[in-house]
Amino acid sequence: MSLRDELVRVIEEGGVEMPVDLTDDTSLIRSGVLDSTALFELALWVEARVAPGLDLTSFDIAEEWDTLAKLVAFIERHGGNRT
Amino acid sequence: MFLDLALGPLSEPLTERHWDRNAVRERYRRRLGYYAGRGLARGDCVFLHYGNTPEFFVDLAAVWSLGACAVPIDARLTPFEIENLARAAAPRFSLWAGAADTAVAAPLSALGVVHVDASEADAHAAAPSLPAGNLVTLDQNALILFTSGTTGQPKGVVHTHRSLRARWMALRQSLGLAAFRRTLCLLPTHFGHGLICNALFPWLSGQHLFIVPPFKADLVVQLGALLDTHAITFLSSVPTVWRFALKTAKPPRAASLERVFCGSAPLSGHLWEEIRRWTGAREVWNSYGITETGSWLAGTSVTDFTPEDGLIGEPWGGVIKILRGVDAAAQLDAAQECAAGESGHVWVNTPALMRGYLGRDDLTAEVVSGGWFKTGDIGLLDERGWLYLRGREREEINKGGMKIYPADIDAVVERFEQTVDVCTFAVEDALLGEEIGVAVVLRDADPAVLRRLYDWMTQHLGKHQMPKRWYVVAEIPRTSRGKINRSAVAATCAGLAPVNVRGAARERS
Repeated sequence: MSLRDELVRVIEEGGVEMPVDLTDDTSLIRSGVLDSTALFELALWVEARVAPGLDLTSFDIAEEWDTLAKLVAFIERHGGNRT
Repeated sequence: MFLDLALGPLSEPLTERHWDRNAVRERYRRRLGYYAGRGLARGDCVFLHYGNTPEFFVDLAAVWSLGACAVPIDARLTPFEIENLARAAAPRFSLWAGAADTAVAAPLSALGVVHVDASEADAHAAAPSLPAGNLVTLDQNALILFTSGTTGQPKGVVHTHRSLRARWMALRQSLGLAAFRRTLCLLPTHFGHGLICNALFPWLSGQHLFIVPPFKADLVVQLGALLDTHAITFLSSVPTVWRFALKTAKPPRAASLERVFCGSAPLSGHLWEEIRRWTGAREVWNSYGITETGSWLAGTSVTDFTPEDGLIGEPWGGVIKILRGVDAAAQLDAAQECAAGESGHVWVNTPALMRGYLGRDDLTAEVVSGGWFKTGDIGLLDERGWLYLRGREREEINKGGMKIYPADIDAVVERFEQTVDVCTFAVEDALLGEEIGVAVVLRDADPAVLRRLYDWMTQHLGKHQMPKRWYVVAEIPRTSRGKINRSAVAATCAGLAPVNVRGAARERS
């Protein structure tokens, strides 16, 4: 499973109904697709994937994680693209 | 008039809109004229299909001034649920922020409800005075908040102007107003905690209310900056929001916060300390509130104490008793009070108690007796008279402060043609405390049937009521009396793999 598909699975398992026309550039946070609950769960998953103890307050999470493409880039940039 | 509305300023940080007292007064008076002209009058019931905006508050004030009863509607509810509420409450008017949602408006129109676009009120001339004959009395219904039964028999908590005013007076006497002068409301305004206490108590006392959409993720991650920018002195929230904010948001730097409340769900001593550290506020209170008692009922009222799990504190404007052996309100006379430190059923006597459940005298009689209200919580009073909560006996799922009733979800699943049996239950959740799980027995467990069930549920349940974990099982275990033990079903399902029903639904479309 690709990192992108894994992200979709994690988000859906968090109770989110993804838009039917979902693309890699669909806004997830600013558009309200992810509410605070879903974003929290995603944060826990990314943190575990990238680095335990990642400081989520050190960057603009709403901007840097707003789309699947940005999320994949963030995780890869932080060395979390291993499967 | 008796309402003595000291309407404070309103601000909406997300849009940077700010209405000072004069602007608020002007908009309120325009609404008085507009709604009176549309025929809104004393005794009417009014649905408000929006919330968490400045307009909502001036609309509410106008509806009350005209003698009508307001029913804030959770916008996440489905048309099916809203129609169900309308059958119970028989509203005469439906207020919309813009054009009405046709899926909701059509069934309501069929019930004789008149739809009004509230945004047109701003173009209307301000009323010079209140219309004659609209004298509001304290014992009129003011507010109905539906807490459950949206899919079946709705349970609407009815508050009068008297009970609401009793709550606000008790809070003012116990808590003062100074810390509330710049109040932020992050909570939904169809929710007793958010509406009655976080928002209306300060705002109707002339304090400045800042209002934002509830639980919006990109707002919570900016919470520290939001507090600083607007020099917020007070906010209330739920443990879920704090868990999220503590992990993702930078703390405030300006030290404007003076008092913080946390309520609607259990607050651990650990999280309590973390909130104190993150906010830097002098006072962080664990508040205990129930919609039926006008929300905030008690809280810890000292500043030099060590946070403890379950610690609530002293009541505000009421008396709390811990009774043993009371299963129904009818048995209250025979009940014995527990000794200090002994756990029992928490009962409350307060002038802020609801009038009752709308059209459900049977339900009201189950929880109200001689002015005493059975909270459904288990707790104790210590030697100082401080309340500690130890559990609950109500069958509900506390999803981050939102109370979800399993029977509401069961009722929808049961009506699906392939359902043999169903059980909705609570599952532990790191952020929300509890989430919704559902176990279902289907005649045909084919994935296509499951997808149809999912579609059926989305048509009948609000997004917040949709289960997070789905389990397809061969049977639902029952007790020897044929009852479902939801905890036992939850324990069984904990060892099973849940089905990703959302992914299946999206892949099909």
